[in-house]
Amino acid sequence: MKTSYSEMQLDALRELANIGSGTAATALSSMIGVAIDVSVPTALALPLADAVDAAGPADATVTAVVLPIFGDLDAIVLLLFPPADAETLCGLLGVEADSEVGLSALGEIGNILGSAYVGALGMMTGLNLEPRPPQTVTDMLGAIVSSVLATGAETTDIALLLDSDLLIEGTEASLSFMLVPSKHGVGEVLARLGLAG
Amino acid sequence: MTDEAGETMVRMGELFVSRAPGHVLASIGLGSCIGLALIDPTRSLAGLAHIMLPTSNGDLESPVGKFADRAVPALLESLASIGAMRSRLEAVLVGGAQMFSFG
Repeated sequence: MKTSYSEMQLDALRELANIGSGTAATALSSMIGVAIDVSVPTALALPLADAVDAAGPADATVTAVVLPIFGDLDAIVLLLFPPADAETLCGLLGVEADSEVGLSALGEIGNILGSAYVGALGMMTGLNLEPRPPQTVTDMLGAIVSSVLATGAETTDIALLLDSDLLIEGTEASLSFMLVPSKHGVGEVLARLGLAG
Repeated sequence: MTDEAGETMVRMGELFVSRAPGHVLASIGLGSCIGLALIDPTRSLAGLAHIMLPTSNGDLESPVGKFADRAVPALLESLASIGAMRSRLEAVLVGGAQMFSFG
């Protein structure tokens, strides 16, 4: 079992995340009518327990939109909204954050962002990627990230996190965007980019 | 394993035993994972495993605490090695939430 990635492979994955989150930011920007800044993504290949730590404080409450992807690449797109930022986003859309409509709105934001991200990824790699309906959960960050990692953990002890932040201009609000591909999936992506092995 | 009192964070896939009274073993944010605590109260011995998945399917390379079928015997063995007696063990099992409707 391969347990690490070369610098060049991580660089390529980071570039993929960059283009994916750029496309997603454009989609969000046109939805809420506000400019969005995208941070330079980080690509981390970490042992599972370290990956949970890297995501942030385990006991922080967050709202997450989880978007499973099937097809040539099995992966999970995870969007994390800290509570204050979820409120800002919902405010921009004119809905209460702490309501059914608010959660549904966040789920829809996640759906649009995730689909844009996945679409860009598919275009670049030629992989057939199919997003499934998103699920919205509010829980401890550690519980969400460990459960996401557990879905792909049967075949790997290393998690690959591609993490970018989207900053909404004129507010303090940001959301964190993570792609967690399965072991098999990463190999497929790297092969398509000519960086296998 | 440790003898020093304090707090030890038992992270995903890890297991830990202690014979120090007052030593806190903790796991935060279990989600779909399982936290299994075994205690021998008469001798102040405790162990905690933070288990991710049910079966290892013969995978011996992964951390021993990752799969329940390897973690439970390993936790019992570690406790026995610091003097716990099986017949006195009390167990607490938490976690195992269904976080999402897939996977």
